[in-house]
Amino acid sequence: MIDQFLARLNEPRFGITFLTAVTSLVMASHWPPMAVPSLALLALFVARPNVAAHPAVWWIMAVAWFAAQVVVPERMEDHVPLFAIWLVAVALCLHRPAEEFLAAAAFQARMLVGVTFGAAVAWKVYFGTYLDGVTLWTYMIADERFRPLSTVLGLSDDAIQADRKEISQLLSGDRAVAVLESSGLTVTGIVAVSVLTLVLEIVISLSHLVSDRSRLARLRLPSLVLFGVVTYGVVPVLPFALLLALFAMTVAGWRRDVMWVLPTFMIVIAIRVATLAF
Amino acid sequence: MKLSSDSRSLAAMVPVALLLCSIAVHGFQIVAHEDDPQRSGAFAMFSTIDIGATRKIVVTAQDGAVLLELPESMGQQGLSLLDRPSEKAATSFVSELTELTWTVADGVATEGGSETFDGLRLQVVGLGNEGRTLHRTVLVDVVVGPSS
Repeated sequence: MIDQFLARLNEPRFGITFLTAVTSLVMASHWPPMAVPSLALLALFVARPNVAAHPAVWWIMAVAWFAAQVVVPERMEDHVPLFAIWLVAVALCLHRPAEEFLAAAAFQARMLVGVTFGAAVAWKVYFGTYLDGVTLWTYMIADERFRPLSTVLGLSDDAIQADRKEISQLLSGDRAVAVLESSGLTVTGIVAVSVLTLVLEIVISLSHLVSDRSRLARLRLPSLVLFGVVTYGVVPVLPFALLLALFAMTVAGWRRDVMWVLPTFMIVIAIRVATLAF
Repeated sequence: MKLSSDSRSLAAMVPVALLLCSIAVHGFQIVAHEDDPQRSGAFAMFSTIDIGATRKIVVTAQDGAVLLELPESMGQQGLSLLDRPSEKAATSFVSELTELTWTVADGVATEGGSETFDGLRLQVVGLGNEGRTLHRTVLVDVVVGPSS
């Protein structure tokens, strides 16, 4: 039975929808009550796999996730609305003949990735503090999870503590300004990382939005995997990592030779979670 | 139910249209209402220095002579206010503080004790910058009580 189940995972219509159900369960970490419909859906995959592939099931899941966003908006991060929209996409794809499912799902996944990363690039340009490194620098000060990056770039713990204190005093009104200062090499490193990550996001967006025939389309999988490894190697966000792995494998045709993407993301996250305390 | 070819091509664009709507709605909330870019559906994460985690609620009494330490019991409300710093939410938050009693020592008030404040000022402050020089920006500023 287990062999049969694993074999079915290779079928796009079963595998993509099943991984979406798993992602739903992980997404429920944002609001535990959503674990109930997610577990029910997973149970359906085991007990009645044909029913689990019915579009109505996915419309219900989509409505449930949209409702969750209305009920507890403060618990939702941007990957939750993206996931709810993916559920709509899955439902629509399941209305198509079985042989068209993969092509339809791949189209949906690459459009969602392209627009999502396009928006991320647009915001970084709009706020104007990303390319000069100030945003990344501030995150390294404010968010402990950035420690591996700040260490590599030469920002010592003492320097970060001092910056943190200055910013706290600034917010309390005890000082007029706080100046981010470090060696030229560190500043250059921070700016370089900022520019490179922005370039990576631009490549991800464009490569997913262009047609399959474009040369740029070849960069879809490598750019998304590089993003996953670099990003989740620093900030381990499991639900988004799972969703991006699902998108990457779907866009790549749900082939056996791209199934390594999911374990790669999970291993990167596991390593980062295990090292968070250090 | 199978969709016709025309319906299929139209329906295929529904998810991306929903995504663009989500980005537009949340983007408007970020730009017009100072919503925390980290928490919305606009994919503005890691794009600016002014986020909920770098904002602070500052509550003072007696023309700034006393700084109130926010009670832990109001932590969740405080986080919501930092994420969506509206005047309405700030007024509701600070009104609750006027109903509490305080102990004042060295210009800092902590919850518990016998002192009360009729008038309080609440500011939600965040970070702005000019190059690598950070400065304080006031996102919301409300006063309740006799001095308002």
